[in-house]
Amino acid sequence: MKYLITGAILFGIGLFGALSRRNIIGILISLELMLNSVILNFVFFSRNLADLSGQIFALFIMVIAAGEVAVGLAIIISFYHGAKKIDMEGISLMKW
Amino acid sequence: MIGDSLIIILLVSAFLSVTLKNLFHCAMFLVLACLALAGIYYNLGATLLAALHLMIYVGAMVVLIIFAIMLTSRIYDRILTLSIKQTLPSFFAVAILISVIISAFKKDIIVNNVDKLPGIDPIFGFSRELLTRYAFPFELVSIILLTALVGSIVMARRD
Repeated sequence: MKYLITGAILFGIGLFGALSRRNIIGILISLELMLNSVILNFVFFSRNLADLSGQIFALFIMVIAAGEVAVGLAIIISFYHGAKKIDMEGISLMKW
Repeated sequence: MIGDSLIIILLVSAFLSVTLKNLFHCAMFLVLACLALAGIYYNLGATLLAALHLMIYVGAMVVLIIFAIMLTSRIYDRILTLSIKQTLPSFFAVAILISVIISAFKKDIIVNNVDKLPGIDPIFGFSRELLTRYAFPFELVSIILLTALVGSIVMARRD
């Protein structure tokens, strides 16, 4: 039970960071925390229901998070080459 | 109790990594949060997942984030601005969300206190499940990872 509450609070912390940050790398760190809270819930239920599928889905989430971080950082670096800053206000290239 | 202290370390370092002003310190506290999470997984009986979490997050992902920080800003010059106009409403929204989720937990979740998964070695069972029942998602997720890495190389290349 305490692990579920921990997962909820961790998700809330990550969501708070993603909403209140303006730096893109800060938002990526917050996204990592949110994904980690989901993994924590999977592992807890895997132990609680005595089923190993939760751990396997946790592994899948880790792989997807790794790909997400790689793509996000590539976008940040290619944006930084043009604009020389990484604040969220500067990114309106794809807005109409 | 070691589980409770790990949870406290996890929550405090996660909060610090979200609210600190220096981005490099945020990444360091993300490392601490990932270490505490690996300890929690080990405590929950997921030993192989704890090792994988250490390798993937602390070994690869945080290093990647620190590289991006070093490539895009001077570490000790930059102070992050954090406006009160965004902080207060998002804090209240998150507080409401967390209270709703926790009040939903209190009703009907069966908690049984098994210490280990019964009968099977967790590493053996994990590997067998991964290569028999979940073989197709395993291959699919490897293709997704390959595509994402090639795409990130193409996107970050300066031309």
